[in-house]
Amino acid sequence: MLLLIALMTSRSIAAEIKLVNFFTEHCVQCHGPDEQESGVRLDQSINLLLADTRLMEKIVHVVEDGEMPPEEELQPPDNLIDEIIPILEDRIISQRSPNPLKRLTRFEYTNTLSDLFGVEFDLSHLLPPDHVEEGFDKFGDSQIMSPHQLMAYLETARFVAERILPLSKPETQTWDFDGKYFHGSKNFATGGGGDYLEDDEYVLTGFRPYRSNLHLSIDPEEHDQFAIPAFGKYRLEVSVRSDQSKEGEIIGINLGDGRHPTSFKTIKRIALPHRANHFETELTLKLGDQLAFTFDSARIPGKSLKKQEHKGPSLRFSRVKIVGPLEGSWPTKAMKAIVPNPDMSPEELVDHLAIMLTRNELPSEDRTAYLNIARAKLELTGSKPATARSILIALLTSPHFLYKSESQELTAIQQAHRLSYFLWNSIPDPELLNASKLGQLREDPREQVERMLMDPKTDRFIEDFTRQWLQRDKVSDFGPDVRVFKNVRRMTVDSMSREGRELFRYMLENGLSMELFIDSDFVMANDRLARFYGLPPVEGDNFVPVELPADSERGGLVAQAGFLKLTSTDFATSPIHRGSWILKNLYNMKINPPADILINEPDIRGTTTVREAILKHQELESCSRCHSKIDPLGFALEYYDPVGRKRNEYRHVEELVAEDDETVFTKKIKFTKAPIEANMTLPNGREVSDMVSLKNALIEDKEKIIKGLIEKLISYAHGREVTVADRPYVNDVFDSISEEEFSLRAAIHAIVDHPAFRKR
Amino acid sequence: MASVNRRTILKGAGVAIPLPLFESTQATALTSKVSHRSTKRMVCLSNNYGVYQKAFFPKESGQNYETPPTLTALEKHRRDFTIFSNLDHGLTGGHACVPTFLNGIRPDMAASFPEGNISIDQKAAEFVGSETRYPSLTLKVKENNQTSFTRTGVQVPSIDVTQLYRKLFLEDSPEAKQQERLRIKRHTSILDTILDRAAVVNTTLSGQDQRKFAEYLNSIRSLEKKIEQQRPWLEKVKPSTEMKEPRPAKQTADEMKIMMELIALAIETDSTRVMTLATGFANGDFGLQGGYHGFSHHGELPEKTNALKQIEGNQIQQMSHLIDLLKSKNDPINGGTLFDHTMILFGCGMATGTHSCKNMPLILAGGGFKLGQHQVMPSEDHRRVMACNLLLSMLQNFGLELDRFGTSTGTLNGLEWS
Repeated sequence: MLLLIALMTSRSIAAEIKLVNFFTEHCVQCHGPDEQESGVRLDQSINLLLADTRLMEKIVHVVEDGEMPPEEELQPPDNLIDEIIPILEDRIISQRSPNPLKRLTRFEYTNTLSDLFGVEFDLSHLLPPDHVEEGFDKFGDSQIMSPHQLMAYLETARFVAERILPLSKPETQTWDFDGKYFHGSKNFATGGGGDYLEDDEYVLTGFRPYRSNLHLSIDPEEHDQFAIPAFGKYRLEVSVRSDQSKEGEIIGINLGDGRHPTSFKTIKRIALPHRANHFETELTLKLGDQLAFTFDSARIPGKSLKKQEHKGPSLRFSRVKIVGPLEGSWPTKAMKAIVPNPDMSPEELVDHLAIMLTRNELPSEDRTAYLNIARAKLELTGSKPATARSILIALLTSPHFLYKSESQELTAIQQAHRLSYFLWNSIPDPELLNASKLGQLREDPREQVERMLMDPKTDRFIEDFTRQWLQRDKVSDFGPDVRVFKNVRRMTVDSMSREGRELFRYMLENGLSMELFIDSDFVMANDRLARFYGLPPVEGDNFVPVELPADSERGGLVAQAGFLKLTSTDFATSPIHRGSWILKNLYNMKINPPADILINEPDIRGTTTVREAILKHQELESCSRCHSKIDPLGFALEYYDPVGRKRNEYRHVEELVAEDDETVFTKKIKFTKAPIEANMTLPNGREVSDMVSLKNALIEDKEKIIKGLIEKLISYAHGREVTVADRPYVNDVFDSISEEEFSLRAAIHAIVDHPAFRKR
Repeated sequence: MASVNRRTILKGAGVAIPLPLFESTQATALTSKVSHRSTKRMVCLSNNYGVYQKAFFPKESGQNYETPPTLTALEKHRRDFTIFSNLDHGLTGGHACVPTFLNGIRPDMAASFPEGNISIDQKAAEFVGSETRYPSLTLKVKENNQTSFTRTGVQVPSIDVTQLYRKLFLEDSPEAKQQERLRIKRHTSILDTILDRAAVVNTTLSGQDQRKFAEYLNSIRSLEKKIEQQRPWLEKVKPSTEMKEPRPAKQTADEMKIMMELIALAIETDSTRVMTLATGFANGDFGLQGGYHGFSHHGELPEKTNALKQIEGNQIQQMSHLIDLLKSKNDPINGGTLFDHTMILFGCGMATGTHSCKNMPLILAGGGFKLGQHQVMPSEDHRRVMACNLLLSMLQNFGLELDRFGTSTGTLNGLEWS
C-alpha cells in the first residue's frame, strides 16, 4: 500500500516536472516574469498553476489547437504535446467540482404537476422565469433561490392544490356568443377601427391587437367583458372563416382585457386551414381570464377603415361557443389519484402523497412533521380533501420536491429522474421507475429510452432544448423594422423561430445524422417559410421536409433565417455576433467578452468602416485569440441580411431626423448602397468568403462540431457545464455513434448508456 | 355642480392619523434619521400617448429656457424640476413601448433580462417591503395604467380614486381581515414545518450541496420575517380623514385633482411610499369632442394639436398641483417638506402620438435632486444616453444599492448635489 502511494507520488512528480519543463521552454518567454501576455504567467509554483482548473483548460485548448506557441516561435514536437495534454486532462478530471444541487426549473415544475395530476397548468403568472446567461436553465450553478422565489412556490402550491382539489363540483356551463356580443378595437377610447361587424360576422383585418381584436361581452348592450367563472378545462368551438385569402391563416387566442390590448398574452395559436370555417380547441383557464382573438397572420398592422375599405385578407367570426369547466368524471381523476380511498388515515395519506410527489419515502423525522400538519388539519376540518390540500402544499414547497438530490453514484430512483428530466423534462412515470429499480437503466437502457422517445412527452425535450440551445425565443427580439423589411410578417418570423426545433425533431424521429446541422439537401419548412425561402410551395402551417433546389444555399443551422435574424438588430447584421454564436453553439466553445474592454457592437449603417473597425480587433493580441476565429465565420455570412435573406450589397439605413422648431422626431428612412466584402482567412489558413465556403469549412471541422453537440446534450442532461474533464465521456459517445453515421438518436442512447450518466 | 361641492369638501380635508401610528412613525423616523439616509418616496405620472413634442420641449437648454406652452403650469416651480431632452429607451414599437416607461424593456423582451421587465416602482416597493402598509400602489384616472410590472412580468392592476380612498382610509370588513389572517397563518405554518425539517435535510448533505441549500434555508427565514412584518398592518388601524369617499368624476381634470389630493394624503400618512399613475381623456373634457388616440395622431392639424396641448397641459397642471400640496406639508419622518423627499417623474414610454419612441418626454421633480433646468443630452446616435440611467439614478436616490437597472449604462450626471 505504501509502495503504491509512493509509486503514484513519484509518477505525479515526474509529470509535474515534465509540465514545468514544457512551460519554461515554450511559454515563459511571453507568459513569465518579463511579459504576461493576456495576464497569464506560467513561471509560478506548479501546484498553484495546476490548481487553477480554468487556466489548465485554456492551456489544453490553445496547445491542442496549435494556437500556442504562436507559429513564429519554436514548436514543441507532437509527441511532447501528446504527453502533456493527458497530464493536464488527468489533473483537470481529478479537480472537477461536484455537480451542484439542482432545483426544478419553471418548465420542469409545470410539466411535473401536469404529469402527476393530468392538469395542464400555466404557472407563468406565479413562478418567476429561470434566467440564464450561458448554457441551460437546468444548471444548478445559475439557479437562484430567494424569499421571492420561495413565496412564489408557496403561492403556486396553494393555487395548484386548490384547483386540483375543489371542494365542490364545478357546474359545466355553455356560453354561445354571436355578433351581438362581439366587440373589437373600435369600441374603446384608444382608437382602433381595423375591425367591424358586417352581416352578423365580426371582421378582423390587421395583426395589431389594438387595431383589430375580437372580445366578448356578457350583455349585448354593455361592454362588460365575459370572464371565465372557475378554473378548469374549457372547450372552444369557433365558427370563423377567412376571406380574400389563398392560404391557411393563423388565429391568436389571447388572455387580457380586449379594451386595453397592449398587454395581451398569447396563449395559443390556431392554424386555420385554407377554406376551413370552424375550429375547436381545449384550454385550461382560470377564474377571471378574459379571452380575445386576433388575426396573427394578417398582412397589415391594421388601419382605420373609415376612409378606405379593406380589400385584403380578413378573418370573419360568426360564433364563439364556450363550454366548461369540463370534468370527465366526479370525483376527478386527480382527486382520485390524490385520495384514492376516502378512509385513508393521515399516515397513509402522507406516505401516499410523498411517494407520489417525490417518488421516494420521506425520512422518518420529516414524516412526523407532515403528519402533524395532516392531523391538525383533519381535526380542524374533518375533511380529507382539505387535509390532502395541506399536505400537498407543504410537500410542493419542501426541498424533497423542489430539489433533485443526487448521490455520488445515482440510486435507481435518481437515475430514473435524470433520464426523465432529460427526455421528458418531467418526473419519471411508474414504468420507468420500475425498470430502473430492476436495474434495466444500468444494464441496457435502450428499451426504456426508445419507449420514452416514442412518447409525445419528448416534445418538451425538443422544445426546451432547442429553445435554449438555439435561442429560438430571441428570434423576434428585434424588429424587423417594417419600413425596411416589407413583407417579413410576424408569422414568417414565428415560423423562423420554429425551424430549428422542427429540424431537430425530424432528425431525432428519423435517426438522421447530426452532420445535417451543418448542411443538408433539405430544409424543414411550412407554407410561410417555404415562400420566404423561395422554395416550392408547402401547404399548411405544419413543417415538412422540402428538398432544396441544386442552386440553393439553404440547409444547415447557419443558413436558417432564425439564426441569421437573432444575431442581427433592427437594421443591421452583426458579424461578430454571428461568428461567436457559431463557436458557442456548434463548437460548444466558451467565449467570454474580454474584460475591461468596452465593446462596440459593429453597426453596418456605417458600412465603409465596419470591416476595418472589426479587423482592428485582430491586430490587438488580446482580442485576436478569439476574433481571428470569430470574424471570418461571421463575415462569410454578410451576404445574408438581418432577416436572413440573400443580399448582394449592403443597404445603409439612416433614420432621417426631421428638425422642426427645435423638436426632434425621426420619420423617414434613407437608403444608400455599399458593396459587401466578406472573404477572410480562418486561423487554420482556410479561406471563407460566403455561405458555401463557410459550410465547407464547418464540414471539415465535423468531428469538433459533433463533439460540441454531444457536449450540449450532456450538459443539458446533467445540468452542468461540460469541460475538459468530460472528454472521456464525450469521446466514448462520439466513437460509439461513429458507426451509426452520428445519428442524433444514437447519440442520446449512447449518452444514457454511458457509466458517467449514472454518476453525479 | 357636483364637482364644486367635492372641491369644497376637499379643501377642508385634512387627515387624522390615529395617534399610536403617528408616534411610532416618528419614533422610527428619529432613529432612522441617525443611522440612514432620509426616507424617500416616488411618484411616477404618465399617460398612454406621449406628448405633442413641439409644445413640450423648451427651445433653449440650461436654466434660462422659455417655458413652453404645455409646461406653463409648472413655471412657478421651475427651480424644482428638470426637463430632459434626447433620453429614451432606444426601442421601437409604438404603443407596445408604453409599458416600457419605467423599465426600458418591452414585455416581449423580458425573458432576456435577469430581472425581466420589473419597473422601478416595483423595484422600489421591494426595497420598502413592510415598512408601509402598501409597498406600492398602481393608480389610474380614465385609462389603464400600463407602467407597473413585477419581476415575473405581471402587469400590476391599477385602481381608481374610489378604490384608492378605500385602501387608504376604509377598514377591511372583519371577514376580509379574517381571511387575510388565515392566509398569513397558513403560510407561516407551512414555512415553520419546512424550516424545521429542512434543517434535518441540511445535515445529510455534502458540503457543496449545503452551501446551495443554505440559499433555500435563508430564503425561508427571510420570508418568514417578511410575513411577520406584514402581519401587524392587518391589526393596525388605518388613518382616518374628513374627506368623503370620492367617485370617478366626469371630467378628467376633476378626477385628477382628487387623485393628487389622495396621493399627497397617502404620502403624508406614510401608507405607501411608491405610486404610479396613468391618466387619459374623457370625451367632453375641456369641451373637446373625440378620443385621445385620435388627437394624438394630429397630422399637425391645429384643432388636434390644440386639443393635445390642453390635455397634456392639464396633466402638467395636476403635477404642479401635487407639488403645491407636497410643498405645503411637513414631512413627519425626515423633517422639511414632503416635497423635499418625494421624487416625481412625469413621462411616457411612447414619446409621441405618432408612435415614435425616440426622445421620451421626461420631467423629474423633487426628491432632493439637483434640478432646475432643461438638460439636453447628446442627440447623435452613438452618443445617446439610455433613459434607464435616469431610472437608476432615481432608484439609487431612493436608497437602493444598485449599479444596473434595465438597460442602464450608468447613472445620469449632475443630479446629485455633492
